[in-house]
Amino acid sequence: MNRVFAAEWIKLARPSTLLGWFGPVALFAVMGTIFNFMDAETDAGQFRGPFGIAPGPEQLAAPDGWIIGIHAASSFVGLIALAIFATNIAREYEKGTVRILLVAEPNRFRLIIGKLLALASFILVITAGATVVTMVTSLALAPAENISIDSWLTWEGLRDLLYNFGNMSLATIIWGLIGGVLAIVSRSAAISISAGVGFLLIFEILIAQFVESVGTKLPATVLGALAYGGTFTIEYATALWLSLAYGVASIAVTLFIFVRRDVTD
Amino acid sequence: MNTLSPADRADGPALSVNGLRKAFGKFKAVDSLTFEMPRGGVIGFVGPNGAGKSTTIRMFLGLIRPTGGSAEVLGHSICRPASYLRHVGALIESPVFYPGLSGSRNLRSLARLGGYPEERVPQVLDTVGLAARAGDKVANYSLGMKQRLGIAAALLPDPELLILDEPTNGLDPAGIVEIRDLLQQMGDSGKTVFVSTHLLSEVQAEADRLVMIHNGRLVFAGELAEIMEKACDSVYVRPENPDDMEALAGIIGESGHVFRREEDAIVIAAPQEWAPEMNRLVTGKGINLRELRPQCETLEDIFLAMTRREVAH
Repeated sequence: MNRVFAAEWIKLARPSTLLGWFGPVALFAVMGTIFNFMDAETDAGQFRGPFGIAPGPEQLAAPDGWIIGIHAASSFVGLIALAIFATNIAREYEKGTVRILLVAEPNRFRLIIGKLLALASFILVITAGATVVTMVTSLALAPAENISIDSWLTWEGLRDLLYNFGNMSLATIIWGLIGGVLAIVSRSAAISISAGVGFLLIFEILIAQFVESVGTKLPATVLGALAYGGTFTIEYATALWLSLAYGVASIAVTLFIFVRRDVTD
Repeated sequence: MNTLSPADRADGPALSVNGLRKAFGKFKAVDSLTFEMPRGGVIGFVGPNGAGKSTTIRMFLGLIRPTGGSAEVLGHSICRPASYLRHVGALIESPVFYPGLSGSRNLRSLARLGGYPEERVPQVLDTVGLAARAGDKVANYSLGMKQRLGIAAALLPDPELLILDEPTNGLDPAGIVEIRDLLQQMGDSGKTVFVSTHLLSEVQAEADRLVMIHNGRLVFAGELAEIMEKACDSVYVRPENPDDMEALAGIIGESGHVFRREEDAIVIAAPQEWAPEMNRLVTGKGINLRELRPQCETLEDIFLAMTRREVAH
């Protein structure tokens, strides 16, 4: 599995790949932070479309205030993670490179698990980078909005930082695993990304509208709640367990199909 | 374990196929294929497009599972490809790589994945004549260069068995000769080279043994020399003076051989060893010959004849 991981990182570590995926994530993180700090005094509690509800100055001055900008962008970051997994896995089928991979590493279980681990670590690197970008942006914007940064630079601030980073990373990786299973099923990057985005951004909202009872159990809502560390409608523990269930189910389906299906492409 | 025991490596056939079948729905891509090929040398795997060559190769490489029958590669069942693939190098259909990576990085990625020494990368790139362009992105490679890189990738594990699908595809004539020489060298060094192609003339030039399939079924499996010997079972004779054609036909008829007339020559169904006897007979009757030679069919002719026979059956 280590070999698969190391081989995969040769591809992932290309500057164009790393920067190509990190760029949009950092952009959304910066946008989320700017929207949070912009007119924090007057706009607190207002709904800001895809970036959620604007926090007030007290929330921004709290120990985790400097990284909540990335929460606001969590859905975007999640969709990018879905696209990273989907593109990486589906393109192996589209280009036919899955054949040479399987000849070099015929243990399919080892191959796909190593690949998923490499992609998950790639997501971790990107999320860590986006978290740093969010922190730096917050530090730059706070003085202009008269937000105190005293509690950010404390042990409590550090603890909250790690807690939020952990939740955000886990949620983002599970978004990616959902992208992975879609790619394995469809063997097409375009189909898997459009199916994922279409379901998670459109159908999920429609389903929640019509069947209220399942609305809080659907993946995008649950993963959003996990990234936030729990919301008013979904407790943290519920979000965590449901998210893990989606993650495990995605891995199980991915493994089952990848290990059993003939490679005829 | 991914290693073969010393006994496995030395003994037994390279490929042993027994009633191998693969069906996609109702379509039988490979139908009861049975043959055995010993280790060492170059084996041509021939058949027209759609004959089932790629499907068979994919089964050898563990990419698809057989519907029925069995096969062994280097003494191991194809149901457990991990037990032998470390000793197999393969180029499957068109060569595919990551276009954004250089040729060298593509091979390093494969070397890491397969656990092969990375020192092999410059060696195999040099072997296929790509060392000078190793740092270029694969996206900028020509088809011939990609083909060379595909062969280099297949050589990475220093394989016991090399399975190549159309290895000379896209190469220029000089490149074809180079790759042919390389494959023959490998075959001569004791490795087994299994080359799938639809170019029969290519196989005739480089193979020691042959597996012919058509519509997923075996047509022939054996030594190339054996089939080519059968191909040379005619003697072509042309008199110096065309007026001697009648007398010549009479002599051949008396000898009891079947023959057919061509414009100014006669083709006799007889082994080439009979040619000196023929020469003695006609010179004794005062007929001078302009040509007397064994007439061999090409592998294409033989393949077409054999597949026609199979269709007729």
